[in-house]
Amino acid sequence: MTQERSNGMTQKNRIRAVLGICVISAVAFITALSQLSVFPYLKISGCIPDVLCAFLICSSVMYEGKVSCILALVGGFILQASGCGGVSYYPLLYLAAVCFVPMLYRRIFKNGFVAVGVGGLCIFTVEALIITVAQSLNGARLGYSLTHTFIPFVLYSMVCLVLSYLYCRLHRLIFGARRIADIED
Amino acid sequence: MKNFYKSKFFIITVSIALVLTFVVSALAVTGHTSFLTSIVNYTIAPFQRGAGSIGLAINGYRSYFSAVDELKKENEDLKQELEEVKSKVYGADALIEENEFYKSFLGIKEDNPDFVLLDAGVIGREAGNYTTVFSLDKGTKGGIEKNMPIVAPNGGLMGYIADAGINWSKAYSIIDPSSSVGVYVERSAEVGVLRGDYELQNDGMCRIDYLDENADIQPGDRIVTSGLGSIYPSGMPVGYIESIEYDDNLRAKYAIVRPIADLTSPQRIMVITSFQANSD
Repeated sequence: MTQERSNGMTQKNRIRAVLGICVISAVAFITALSQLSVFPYLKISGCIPDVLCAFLICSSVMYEGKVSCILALVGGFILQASGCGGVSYYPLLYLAAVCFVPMLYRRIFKNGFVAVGVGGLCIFTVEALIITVAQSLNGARLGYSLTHTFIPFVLYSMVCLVLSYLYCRLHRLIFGARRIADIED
Repeated sequence: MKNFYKSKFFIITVSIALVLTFVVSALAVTGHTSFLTSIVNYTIAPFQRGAGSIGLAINGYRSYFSAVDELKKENEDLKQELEEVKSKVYGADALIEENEFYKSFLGIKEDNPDFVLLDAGVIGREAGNYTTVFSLDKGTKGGIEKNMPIVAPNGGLMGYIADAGINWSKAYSIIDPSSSVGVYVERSAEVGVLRGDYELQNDGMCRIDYLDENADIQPGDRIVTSGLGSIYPSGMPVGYIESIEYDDNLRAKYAIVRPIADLTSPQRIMVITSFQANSD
């Protein structure tokens, strides 16, 4: 009886976990679409935040490595494929982000919010630097790019990061995703 | 978790990411579209259309609020322009009114070529329905002196200048109790003196006194100035007889006269600065 109850509960948790992964994947897809089609209308100082990256960073703290990596790869490829041509760094950047932030959480901060915040800031800073350098190579003044691209991009993306974190907390409450602390090294 | 980063899965994932980054980017830079890119775009196109319409709607709301400042400024500019146009219209109205005023006095001038007329604006009046004292915007500097008669646009006698300063003057109307005008009935030539009356003043009327007991007068008769006293020229229309009454104290009859001139709210009047006295 106890075994049967144990199996039932395990199966229930499994279904819940799978459902959670499906939902997070759908939300990631919607986030990618939003970044492509909605946020261009919500530019601040001409910048579109990296909403998908923010979401992936937050979800990487919740879900085990495989799920995060696949989401990062697929999301990054969607953004790359939908771009206007040229060099695109999204798949690599997102993969690095979903590996870097959980590492920060496990090794240094032990606090999800702080790890997400610091990790997100680092990732967005690197991304903003890449954009700024690309603009400068295309003729924009460095000072102008710093004030009109670098800072607005980082700030706007950090706002999206906070909102994504709030969603992920809610998601975990509903679907009970496994935390990284539960994963054995 | 260390084992994960050393696992086959992770190595494959990183390899795929590298391939996607470099190969697809290289194809994109050289103007080629990869098969995978085509599939991705084909798949997400319908979803992008839907998301795009949401983005447009959000942009619509956003521009609604961001346009508020522009609309406010445009509103202020239009208000200012409207005020300018209004003042021009008011100015035009005033010019039209002035034109009508001078046209009416042209009639007086044509009937009385010896009159020298000077226009003046009424800048103040005694409070009450039928004004008896007017303040005018011209004085001795403008050519106005005491005891000059004043006429209304319709040619009716209004009163006389009672006092004049350098740039002001005061005129009493014919219904003021202190006023008296030598008049006669145009039909029957019966003479009398037109005076203001406190009781009749509120109704905007005055009376003719010193009529002969058997004077041939009747309601509706037109009263004109006789020219006696030299203040007023002769033959100027004054009013019409409203009724004939009998004064027990004076034991004489008197006529109540309604003036031709509009004494309710005169805006501009004409002062007769000079005229040829009638010797008849």
